[in-house]
Amino acid sequence: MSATADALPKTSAPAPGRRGRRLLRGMTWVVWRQHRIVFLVFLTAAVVMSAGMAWQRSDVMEFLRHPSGTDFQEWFDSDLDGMSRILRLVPVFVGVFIGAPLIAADRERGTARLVTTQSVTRTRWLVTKAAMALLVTVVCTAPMSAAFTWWWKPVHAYFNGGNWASGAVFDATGPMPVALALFHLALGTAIGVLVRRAVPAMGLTFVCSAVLGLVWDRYRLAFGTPRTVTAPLGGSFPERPKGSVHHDSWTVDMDGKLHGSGACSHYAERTPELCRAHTGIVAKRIDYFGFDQMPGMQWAAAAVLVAVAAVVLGTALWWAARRTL
Amino acid sequence: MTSAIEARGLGKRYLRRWALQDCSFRIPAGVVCGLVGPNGAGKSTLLQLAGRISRPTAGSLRLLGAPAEDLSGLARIAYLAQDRPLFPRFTVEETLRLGRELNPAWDQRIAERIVRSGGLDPQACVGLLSEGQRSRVALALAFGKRPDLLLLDEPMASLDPLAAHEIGGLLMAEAAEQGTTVVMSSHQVGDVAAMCDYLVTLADGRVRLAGEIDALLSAHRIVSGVHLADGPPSWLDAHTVVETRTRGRQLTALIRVEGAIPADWQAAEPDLEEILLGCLRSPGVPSLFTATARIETGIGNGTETGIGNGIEAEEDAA
Repeated sequence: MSATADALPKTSAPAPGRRGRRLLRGMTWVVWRQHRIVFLVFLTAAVVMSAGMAWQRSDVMEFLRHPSGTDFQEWFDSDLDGMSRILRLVPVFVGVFIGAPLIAADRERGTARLVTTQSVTRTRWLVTKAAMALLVTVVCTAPMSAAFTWWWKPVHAYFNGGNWASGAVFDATGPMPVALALFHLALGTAIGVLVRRAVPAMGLTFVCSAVLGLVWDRYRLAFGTPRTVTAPLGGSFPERPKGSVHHDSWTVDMDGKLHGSGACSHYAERTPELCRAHTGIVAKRIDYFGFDQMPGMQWAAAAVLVAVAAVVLGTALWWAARRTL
Repeated sequence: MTSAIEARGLGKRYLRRWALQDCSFRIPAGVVCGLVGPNGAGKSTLLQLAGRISRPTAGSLRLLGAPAEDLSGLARIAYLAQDRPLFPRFTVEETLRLGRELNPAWDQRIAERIVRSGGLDPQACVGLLSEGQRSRVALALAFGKRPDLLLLDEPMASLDPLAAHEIGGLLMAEAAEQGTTVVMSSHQVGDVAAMCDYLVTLADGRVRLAGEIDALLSAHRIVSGVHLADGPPSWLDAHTVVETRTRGRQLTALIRVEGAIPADWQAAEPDLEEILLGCLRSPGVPSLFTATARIETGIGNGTETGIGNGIEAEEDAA
């Protein structure tokens, strides 16, 4: 047995470190090799879409040099809107396709046991996996967000009717795609750790993402304090600054108490005096977010999301490090 | 004598079921130890605890002299899981690279030798290999790690007879040349008898037999003789009777020798299979530990007997 077997390895003696492909080493190589298809799909898609958005921007700039009223809706709105939808789906994809199987697939297949019975600790394996997933997520989402923001900024007054407070703009620009993607990555990874099976974990991550998306829609604007403008009843409606977004409408009585915007609707048809006499309401008030508030609100929201993601991911990894793999 | 594995009151519970309970034993360094027992006896659980895949629910486990929780010994222990987990999309060569990247003492020569003697193409995708071929790749990873303690969960299962023979030879050579301690579970008593010099038998999550196979064999006798009265002969009371069988007037008993055997009875040393089967068929008989396998625990469980000084004296004399 050994006589013939001993003779064989000579043919492959210079195997270690062949060519210059030693950029990745140790655990980093193992994790990259294992996940390279998913990672490459995400990275390629990010490059293609970022380049596409940068290219589209030149069309938008051309339009701005020769503005012609309604043309924007016709020519560009759907392009920006389509890309914004994709950008808002990217975090969900990150959670479902990178996060959920990250640990779950290894536990399902038993490869977690293969890797952690080599000479590296379980903690190092988990941290390397999480770190590479985080890196790929950031490297994918940051340029896409930057490109979209660069494309959208010159026409922010036109796109989506200038409403930057809706998810279509707020969640797709600035730091938000990165923060949302990190949040979903943490969510998917944690679900994968709990569920232990890749496909159910992916499905559950998708459902959770959808539910949390609805919750997020309610709290997106909680990260800013609205400004107000008031105008006397009967006069013209209060003017908001340019680029601002309407948040809420009120009516105000003489004591400064707020009432619903419809509190005068019975009387307004006749005269403001009638309304004032019956209810004491003297003014209309509008709450709005100024365009200059947008970056502040986004960064605050992003900071909270990233903090939550860090806690969720940290807890999941700590749990995974202690469990039977 | 240093010990490779030292368990004290070791227990592992899955939900409500104890897969392993109150196990106290020692496996000395340098032995090739067979781990046998019926399905569900706790063999894989014990190997998983030793491979640090899972943590014990109760008791303590020391591996190569250090507590199992001590991470510094990671490189010294290799573990082959029963289901042979491998990355299905890695090629054979990439799987060996995984071993190289993750193990400081990696031995590419021995790993490649194992892979090539099975006629495996290094560029073949692991997911497309047969079960036996995957087994071979997993074994190559375990051997390439150059461990001091090699834990193998049914290493011969799914190997063809030729491959099993080759891997068996490799195991023996490793143990002899490198002083590697091997602990392997197996259902093939023949494999254990051929390769192992040490034995741990589990049943129902407890240790039934532990020690050098030679000492375990010589502690037992199969006695047979003519016996006319009802019930076992009174002289048997001096021994531990594992099991008895009567055919007509002929009574045959597997006993642990603890006294004299009458001259008119024939006594023969049993083989490994006879001891194993007898022991597993008679769960009421106390567990048997040789001196090197026994661990003195504070919680003296009275159900075990040891092989006394007589046997050790015999060994010394031999």
